[in-house]
Amino acid sequence: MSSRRRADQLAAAIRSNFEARPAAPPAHPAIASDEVKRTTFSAPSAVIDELRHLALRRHCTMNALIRAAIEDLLKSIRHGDEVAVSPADCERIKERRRPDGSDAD
Amino acid sequence: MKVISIAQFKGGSGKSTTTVQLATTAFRALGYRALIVDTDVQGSATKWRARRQAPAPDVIQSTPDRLEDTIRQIRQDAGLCFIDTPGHDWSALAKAAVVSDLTVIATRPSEFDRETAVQVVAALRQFGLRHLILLTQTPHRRSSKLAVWEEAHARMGVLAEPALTTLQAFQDSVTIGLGVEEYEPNGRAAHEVRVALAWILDHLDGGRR
Repeated sequence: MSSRRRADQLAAAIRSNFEARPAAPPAHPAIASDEVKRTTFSAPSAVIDELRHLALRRHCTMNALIRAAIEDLLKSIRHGDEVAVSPADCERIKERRRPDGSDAD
Repeated sequence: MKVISIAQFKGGSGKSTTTVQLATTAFRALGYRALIVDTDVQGSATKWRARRQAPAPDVIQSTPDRLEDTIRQIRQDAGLCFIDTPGHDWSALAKAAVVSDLTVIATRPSEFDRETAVQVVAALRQFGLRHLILLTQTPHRRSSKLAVWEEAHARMGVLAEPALTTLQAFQDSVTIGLGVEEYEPNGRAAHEVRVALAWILDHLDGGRR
């Protein structure tokens, strides 16, 4: 196949991908929504909902989002930055825990 | 001669800046006979060359239609050729990609850019064309947000390391016809371009991933 013809076909493929709605890459499909939603992280349902929403928008898994946030938090702590989670926050969260360790919310 | 095109359908992703920076670093830091082919009617790389005092890397203008002939003509003149491509033109992007050994998709960490890059990557993959993704204009400081963008882009294909951050040196250098390797060789921008170029060349040779 001549490179001109190949370029025409590639241009048509790019155009067709742009015109397709919703757009989806063939070889690397978007993460399945159940994969996005799967996490062992325990938190109040409103927090989980927000995380799920963020993960779907960012096309990553909830676990990736949580891991990135934790890495960021640890980095801030190592740098001596003030972090959003205070000892009082930890106490408040602990108080909301059921005896079996699950969240009371 | 190896040919690398810098592409992204979306405008403003830093294609021309990335092109001249990679070419200048290839020439200055690695000693490559580097050339730039400017296929963008905006002619940013061509205008950069006009402001430049140094003889290399040279910039050759070409229309996307004539690109294949242009590459054939300069094949003996350079070791490394960087093609700057226009935004909003899938035909020009395709013509550059098929004559290139590697297409670098320069894209910003934003949802609009990511959506566009996904379409381009899908088509390049469909045609078996080698490509990688280079994040541009990222925040200075590493953060969880950036890590999430990196993960999202790494899922699309090979993500070059490191990203090019938003640094004034990138813009200041091109304003006076230089690359960051010449403008501020010990600065962070020059370091980022050197590492990114080494990564890209490594990938071009099939040495990594």
